[in-house]
Amino acid sequence: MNRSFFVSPASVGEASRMSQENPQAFFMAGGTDLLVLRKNKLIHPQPILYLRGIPDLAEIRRDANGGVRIGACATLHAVAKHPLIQKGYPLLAQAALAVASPQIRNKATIGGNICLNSRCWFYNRSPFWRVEYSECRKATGGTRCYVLPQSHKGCFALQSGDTVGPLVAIGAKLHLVSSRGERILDIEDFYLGDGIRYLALRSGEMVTAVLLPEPKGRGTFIKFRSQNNLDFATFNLTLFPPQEGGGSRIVVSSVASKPLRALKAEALFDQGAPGKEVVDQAMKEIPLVSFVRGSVEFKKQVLAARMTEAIAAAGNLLKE
Amino acid sequence: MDSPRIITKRVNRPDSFAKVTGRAKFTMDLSFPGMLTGKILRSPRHHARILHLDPTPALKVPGVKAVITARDLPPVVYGFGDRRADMTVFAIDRVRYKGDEVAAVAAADEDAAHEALERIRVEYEDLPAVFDPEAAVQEGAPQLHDDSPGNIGVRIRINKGDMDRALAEAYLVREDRFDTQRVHQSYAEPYACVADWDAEGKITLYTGTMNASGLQIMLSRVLKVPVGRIRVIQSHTGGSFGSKVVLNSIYPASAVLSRITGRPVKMVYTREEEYFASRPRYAGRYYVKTAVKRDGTILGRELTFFYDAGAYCDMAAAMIIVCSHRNDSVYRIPSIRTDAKLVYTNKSPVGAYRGYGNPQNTFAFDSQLDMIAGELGLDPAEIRLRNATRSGDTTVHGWKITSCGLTEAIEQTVKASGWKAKRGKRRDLRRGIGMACTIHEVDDRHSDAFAGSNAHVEILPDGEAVIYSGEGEYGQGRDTVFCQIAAEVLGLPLESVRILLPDTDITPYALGPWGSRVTYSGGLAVARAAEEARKILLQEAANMLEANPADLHLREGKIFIRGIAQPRATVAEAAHFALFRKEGKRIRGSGQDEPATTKMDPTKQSSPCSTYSFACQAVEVEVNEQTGEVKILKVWTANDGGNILNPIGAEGQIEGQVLQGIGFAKTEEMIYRHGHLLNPDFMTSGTAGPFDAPPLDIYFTKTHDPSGPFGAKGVAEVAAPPTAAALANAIYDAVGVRIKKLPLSPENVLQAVREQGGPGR
Amino acid sequence: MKDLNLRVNGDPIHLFIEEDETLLDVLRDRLMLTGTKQGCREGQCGHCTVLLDGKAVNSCLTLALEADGGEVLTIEGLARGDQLHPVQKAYVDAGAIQCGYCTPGMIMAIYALLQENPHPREEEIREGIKGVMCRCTGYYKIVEAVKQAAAGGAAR
Repeated sequence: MNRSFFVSPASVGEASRMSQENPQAFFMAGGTDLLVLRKNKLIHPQPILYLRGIPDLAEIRRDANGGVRIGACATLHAVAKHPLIQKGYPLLAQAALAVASPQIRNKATIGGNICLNSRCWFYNRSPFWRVEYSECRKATGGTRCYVLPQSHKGCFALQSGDTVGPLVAIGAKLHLVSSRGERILDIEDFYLGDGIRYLALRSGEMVTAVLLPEPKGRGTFIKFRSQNNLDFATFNLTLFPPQEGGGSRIVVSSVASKPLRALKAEALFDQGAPGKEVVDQAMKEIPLVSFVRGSVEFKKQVLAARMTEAIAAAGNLLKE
Repeated sequence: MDSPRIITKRVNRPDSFAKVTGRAKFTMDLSFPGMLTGKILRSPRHHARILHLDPTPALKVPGVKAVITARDLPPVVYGFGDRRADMTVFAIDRVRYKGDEVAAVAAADEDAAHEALERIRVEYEDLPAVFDPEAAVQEGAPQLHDDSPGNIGVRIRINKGDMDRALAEAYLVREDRFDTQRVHQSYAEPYACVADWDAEGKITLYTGTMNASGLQIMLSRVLKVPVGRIRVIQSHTGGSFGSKVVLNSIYPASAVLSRITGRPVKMVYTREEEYFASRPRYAGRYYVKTAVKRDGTILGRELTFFYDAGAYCDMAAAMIIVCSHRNDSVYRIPSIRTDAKLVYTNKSPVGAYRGYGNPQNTFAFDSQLDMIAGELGLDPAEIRLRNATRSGDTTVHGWKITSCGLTEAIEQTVKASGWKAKRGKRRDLRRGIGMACTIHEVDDRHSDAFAGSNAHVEILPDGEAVIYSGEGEYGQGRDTVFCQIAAEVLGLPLESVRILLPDTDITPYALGPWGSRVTYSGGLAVARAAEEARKILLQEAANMLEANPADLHLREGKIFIRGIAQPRATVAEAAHFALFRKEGKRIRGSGQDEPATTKMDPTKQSSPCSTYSFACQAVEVEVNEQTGEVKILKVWTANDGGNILNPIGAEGQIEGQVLQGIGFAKTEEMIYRHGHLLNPDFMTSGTAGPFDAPPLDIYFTKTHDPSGPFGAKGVAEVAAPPTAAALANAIYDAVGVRIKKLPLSPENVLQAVREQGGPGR
Repeated sequence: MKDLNLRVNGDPIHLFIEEDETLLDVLRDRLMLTGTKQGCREGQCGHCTVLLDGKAVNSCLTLALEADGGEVLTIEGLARGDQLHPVQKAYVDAGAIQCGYCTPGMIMAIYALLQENPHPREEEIREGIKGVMCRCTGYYKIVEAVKQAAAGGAAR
């Protein structure tokens, strides 16, 4: 067994095999979240399987179906600046650009953003800080959740990668590879909705590419924060209006352990229902939880307001 | 005086090259042979008895050289200066906040130090804790200090004029409560030090302190080591904004570890430690009752004020003296009745942060002043002009106001901002404008002992001058302005003047940053020292040239005889002559400023400050009532800092202050839940960033202070205080919602909009 | 322990390091290049910003081994002796320095910004410096410095 801490596999197959053989192993691409989690003693990678030495994993190119294939190790900066993305998937470019800072975006990858460890006020902290919250289910396998103290089980840590909302709305798929084979998964099916077991990744499996279908029409992406700083979103809203009576998308992400689609609201939107009706329906379908900053009342009000504006703006877009 | 050549001009900082190339050494950058890494063990409990403390297992960790607790230091209980003594370097039998210092280790590297901390065995017995100051003063609340019943560390009761009569005679009395939050200074460089207790029993401490002279004395007291055996050397300092004047436990801890190990010991705070265990801005709760006449003239103000000290008073014991009455002198207020309580709670102690007390007090008073103006149907600018303190006033506390640009500042703000066309007129657009005013002290005397500044200026044989001053440089521009002053007096090019960072073996005693006094008092000392050096230089030059010193003058490093256009000699030649002639002489001048002030005592009349600075600020906003977002469209500042000697520096000070003011007003908060600090980092504590900085207009009033160096006062602390009140007042103007609690975040604004009747009022 | 080979400011460097050492610690503690600063160790303050293979990154969130075979540019690599880089000169002349602690990280972020975008709009400037926390200046003179540097053709 490898006693190295930092290993640079030469291929996806090797990476996958090593991950299966070392239950404590962690894949690392940009490492901008992983290294902080390690510093806070929330994870103990052994070894780190560094992916950026594997050829072709960062490529962004057209694929045979008229869509685009983004290698999982493409940095958020590269994604945001690529002409194929800017032209065909501007909301994805916008979302990638909304992450943190230029320094983070130059290392953080789209694969990392999609697989981002779910986050919580009570989890992403140092050991000294967490003494007070030592029963956190996610951090220590304890018996409590400090976000929803009345819950008997479950974890409400949030899916937090900003690119996820647009990818869901676009209808992206993920190419997953392990030493036992490969599969393609709709991105929506990648998230399990629990803060602890949040991804549908099998042992040794890794995301190698994000597959985007042909571009849709224009839409709106909003990353709402109380302050334009490096922080994660209070919520993300991605909205595509219907085209020829169908295919609208209303995706709210970073508010739950998985990205959320307001399916019934989308149906109303497709049918041409008035904006207020669509928004009211969507708000019924999006469960919100109070966090330290961002009470339910606040998030509800702002999300509804922003969604209303986005629908109105989309109406104008359609008229152009 | 001749037209100034260097002061009042736009010049670059003398330390520009060192800082822009990364070569300026901050404390963390220092390295010494054999140096060890030190770390502090901090209490994870809010309030607990220490039943058992066994540090010895830490010594078993490879690489660990020493571990210390309270037992390894003299049993000194200290406070800040001669104030309330309630602290020890390490907890003895009780910890009083999460972060309280319990022990320290020195090890070969950081990993070993961390492991050593984990091995120290501590057994705690939890005690009930209290986190809110009003709860802490109640009967039955947990007591933090046995000698402070009701958890009151300091109480100041002020009674001036006749408040009862003011209330009786008033046309209008308003009573309101205001709350402000803890915020952190968020300076870039964490607390750090290197201590070296050498074989001759001398301690050298390298650190980024604002107060080298004071720190030397505090260390002497706490370690029971003679002052002469302690040398404090200020490294380049990455910001402080008031915090780094205290005796942080890392200083004596690393010194003692160095004594035991015989090696230098470096200690550096993590960013998280900054939030748990440094000295943030206090949270204040204000119950303000103000009486006014029909025309808006203020008759009196009654204030009950809770100042949340945290677990130890430290500097707050001195600060409350200022905070409890400074803002009474912005406006003419004939009667004051104040009950100010510095209250212990089980949180980290607080400290000084730029204009301490001023942003909080101004938020309360200037918000209420607008509410009063509203009830009287008066324009907020008018009510301020009516009541503004003026030059020649003696305020309710006996403060003598000499130079005062407040009226000019208000009038300029009204003019520049387009106030009259905007105020009260754009609610349909959800736009509003608000203003606030403030006063700040220059110098503030807290004792009958020396409260000034000393400086030496020496002219070296190469014609360069060196300034020795105990006042610190931590970004605010001391270096620049002192070099400007000396260069101006000595007729030298600016590049020929150098200055040292304070080093208590070399630089003379100075009071440090109390009120905005470094340019003023430190500058006076430097000017006087330069003047004395100039006299000696001219005497020597006269001897060398066989001329009359009265006929000589200096310009651009050269010596001229009156009436002759060509220079006769250079300063270098004269200095060389002086030093190397028979019975040679150093050209070294000394200067001192000892303010002719009386000790600050809010309960009496006093004249504790050399002079006062003033400012007015207006903020224009656009409010989104659906989301609570407040967009700051522009900020106008009008600042009275007397004659501005260093315009680039002064602008930089105003600019930095406005963004800190916006942070305090809008984005920043140290959030406590059941006493636990939830957000110990830059990002989640809301530190203001480049997208929070609005378009900004800066104006300096044409004030010349008769006593200041070349007419200067201080500007470093007048532009942060008014922002929160101006912003709250602007929000009211825009949407008719009055918010009395900070920060004015979207969530808090939205809640206020909902509570006060919803959008579209 | 592993071998690390990289170029720092043009100099070839060979070290034998712990596998979990960050690039920040290697630069500061092993190479004594203390111009790059430590502010938070969690990628929020940007005082540790260096260029790795031409891209601005937080060196505190970079394992040194990630830079194996790569090129690192630190603040020490910008000036040539006494000759300041145009970005540095513009920064000094604009009065953008106060305490100086964020200055190295800020200069590297600005250098990287102008390499990619030689004539940034104001909003792009603010986004470009967003990752470096400055508490002294309010960013006003820093933004001005970037504009001056861009106008003077500092991207080269």
